[in-house]
Order: sequence, then structure tokens, then C-alpha cells
Amino acid sequence: MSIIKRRQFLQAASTLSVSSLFPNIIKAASSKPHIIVVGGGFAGATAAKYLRYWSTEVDVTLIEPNANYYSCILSNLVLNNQLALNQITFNYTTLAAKYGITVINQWVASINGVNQTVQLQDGRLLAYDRLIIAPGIRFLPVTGLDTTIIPHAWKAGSQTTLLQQQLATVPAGGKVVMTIPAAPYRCPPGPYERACVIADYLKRTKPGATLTVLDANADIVAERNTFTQAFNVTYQGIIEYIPNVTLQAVDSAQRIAHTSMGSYQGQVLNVIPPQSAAEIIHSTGLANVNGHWAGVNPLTYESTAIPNIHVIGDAQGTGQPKAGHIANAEAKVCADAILRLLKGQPPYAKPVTNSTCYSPISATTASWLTAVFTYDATTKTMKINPNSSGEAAAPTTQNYQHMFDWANNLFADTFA
Amino acid sequence: MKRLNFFILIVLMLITTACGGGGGSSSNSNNTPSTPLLVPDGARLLASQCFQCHGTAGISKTSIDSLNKETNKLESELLEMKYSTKTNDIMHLQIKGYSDAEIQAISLYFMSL
Repeated sequence: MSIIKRRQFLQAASTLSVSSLFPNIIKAASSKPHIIVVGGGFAGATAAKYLRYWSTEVDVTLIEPNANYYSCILSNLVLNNQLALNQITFNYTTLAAKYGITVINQWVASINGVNQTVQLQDGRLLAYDRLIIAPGIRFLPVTGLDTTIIPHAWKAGSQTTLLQQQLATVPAGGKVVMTIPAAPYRCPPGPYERACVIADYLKRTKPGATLTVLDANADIVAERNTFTQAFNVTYQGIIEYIPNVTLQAVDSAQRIAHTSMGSYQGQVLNVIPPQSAAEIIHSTGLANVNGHWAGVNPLTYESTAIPNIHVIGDAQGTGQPKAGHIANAEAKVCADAILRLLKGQPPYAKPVTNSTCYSPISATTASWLTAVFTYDATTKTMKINPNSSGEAAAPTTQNYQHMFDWANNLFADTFA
Repeated sequence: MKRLNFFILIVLMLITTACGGGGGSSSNSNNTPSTPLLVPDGARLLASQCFQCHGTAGISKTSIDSLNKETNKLESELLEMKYSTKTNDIMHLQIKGYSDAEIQAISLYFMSL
């Protein structure tokens, strides 16, 4: 095992056509600051892109174990057969070719914040000037839960397909059970959106089938008006919503959720487990917010635990929602701040981020939710602007079309 | 011409073309004034927060409006939405989260593109 110096690394890794024409440019490039981005979801991909979109004075390496990324955004629409998984599948070839980002498909084994190195699972050791970690979430253990039988489908991909296939087997008059973890979790409206989409599917294709929603929270976490209306009216007789239910254990073989309010069995059981920042945040010593999330300075997203390491997306602990749209927003704040810091300038003092999402309520209608967050210098936190936050008055077919317009621009702003 | 000199010339042409590509397109634009716009500090970052919905550089790939056209009207349109009482619309809500100075900075950024 040996440390690969940045110059050697770039010479070995570069696939830029310019390298063969102008070898001296690559040598010059080796003196540029090297920024490593770990994780290629909405946060990491956006950060890598915008570092190079805004500056040619930095070298950027994106480390992501998977060649393909399956978007959680819109993935519930795979469950009710409105989208195919390949319609929400992305890769990193455009980021590499268009912005000159070096993409390495590897797991990170460890991070050394003192030496400023990243150890890859294949043994390579890469040095960074600044490191951005955007690893997303891990699931906390649930007694008896085997996710190969009981899908969470809370990281899109094969899990989404598994849940879709299981839902297809539900008989008429059958029963589906799902559990929602206590907040904070990835995508605040997501579980309620999923309940609606599953109910839509049951209503259209499985007469008499029902969905029991067991929520660890005291009430619907996001878009309360929209989902209350959907549960009580649109899906009356199909959805049974029960708040304040603590999941205690799962019988995966029998598809039973044992809870603080009794045991629930279904032909399909969808357990969305409680969540924490991904393992690398914990093993690197960055999980200093409630032992689960990475504390960061919202001006730069630099860790409050280890200098020159930045954390963005679902793993950060600023209190902003954990979702792809705002992860993209955080990534831009982080990229802008790093480029300014590298030039000896202070970060922008009043960053603004925003959260917007559309939620399908049926196969033809959707709602939306939006908010703007502004840096508050007194508390040094991102604060929601109450005048800028709100939800759709009602789910509409027009919103359903706008949902795809929003998502497709967000996908392109992140991966292309 | 010697081969080496020819090569250098080609390289210089390439570099000139590459450098001119970015600057030239905006300086030839009808919307660009003869003196460079003074884009306020932070405008790049503030404007980039529009890109999630409106596309990178404000160039939308869907039926959502692009922001790189008629940039001279952008500030007045945003201010009109900000001070409208309409709230059942994402953009009318979003823009209420920005100060007038931030709206001006964003508008100047798009004019400078």
C-alpha cells in the first residue's frame, strides 16, 4: 500500500482527451488544490459538478461505489407502475466528460482527517486539500428485520423493485402494512406519499385490499393537510393511519410488525427503519449531533469536529430537511464556500437554501411543499422563513405534470 | 513554416478560441451593456439556488420557465411576485424568502451571463 501522490494519481486516472495533446497542462493541473467528494447522490454529484462548473482552478475526484444512481425522488411511482426504474437511473459519465471530474467507483474504507487522506477499499490512498462527504443514511437495527424479505425501499434500486413485486402479489381483500420511523429521517413527506401511492395501486387493482400505516411520530410529519385529506377522504376505507406506534421487532418470515400497540401482519410488510448518518460519518468521528448526524457550519458545511472535511446532504445535522432538492442546494453553498476559501476569501455570509418537492397522491394527481432557509448570524443556524413555506391547497393533475418538470430539471442540474 | 512553429500556432489558435468562446458570446450579446455589470458578492451562489427548478444557468430543460431570457424584466417580475398576496404557488412563496437586495443580485447575475 502506498500513498499515490496527486500528480501520479491524476496522470494515471485522467481520461481527458486534452491530456494526450498537452501533457504540460496536466502537470500544471497537478499543482491545483485537490477536492475529493465521497458519495454521488444529489448532494455529492452537485458538489462535484459545481466545483468544476464555477472553477477550473481545482481538481475534483468523485468517489462513489456504484456506477448507477437510482433516484429516491419519484421512486414511489415505480410501486404503482407509473414509472420504470430505468427512468430514474443516472450515472456519472456526463459529470466526468463535461466537467473533467475524475470518477472512481470504489467504497471508502477509512478517512484520516489529520493526514488528509482517503483510503479506498482497493488499497489506494488519496490525498485531499478539502474533503466533501455526502454518504447519505444508514438504517438502525430492528430486531428480526431481514431487508431481503421485508424491503425498506428507502434507498432506491433493487429494494424498490422488490417492494413493487411484492405489492403485485397482494390478493383482492389483502392487507399491506407499513411502518414510519421517528423523525428525522430521509424525505419528510416520503412515507405519507408512499402510503398514498400504495393505496392508489390497491384501489385500482386489488378490490377490498387495505393499507395499515403505523407511524412512530405523533402526527403526520409533513404536508399534514394534504395527507390527512388523502387518508380520510381519497383513500377512505383503504388506509388506516395509526400515530404514536413504536416498532419493537419484526417477524420477517411471517411478515409481522410487533409494536407498542400490538402485532400487525400483512401479505406485504414495508418497514422503513429508523435512520442515522451513513457509517463513514460515525467511523470518521463526525457524528456529533445527537450521536447520529454530522455537525457543520452552515456557511461552509465544514465539520465542527474535523477541519477541512465538509458534510452535505442527509448526513449533515443542520436541521434542514433530509431530501434531494435541498441536498443540491447545500452542495452549492459548500462548493461556493470552498472555492472562496481556497482564494483566501471568507465564505458568503448570508447563504440561502430552499426545499421544494412534489408528492404524487395518486396515479394522476400530486401535491407540493416548499420552504426557504436563510442563515441566521445570531444563532449560526439555517432558519426557515415562515413567509416562504407552504403546501399545495389540493392535489391536482396539473401538479402531477409539474412534478416531472421539477424533477427533470433537478436531475439535470445534479447529474448533467 | 517550420513544423514546430506551426504546432505552436495551432496551439495558440486553440487557446485563443477556447478563451474567446466564453467571453465572446456574452460581449456580442445584444443584452450586454458596453461596461461590465457589477455583480454583487454572493450573487453566483444566490442565483444557483434557482437552478434546481429552472435549470443550470437558468436554462430549463422542461416546461418550467428559463431565466436566461429577458433578464432585464426578471427583477421587476420577482418583486411583483414577492409583494403579491398570492401564496398558492411555489414561486410566489419562494421569492418571499429573499430580500429586495438579494433579488437584485440574482437578477444582475443572470444579466451578466
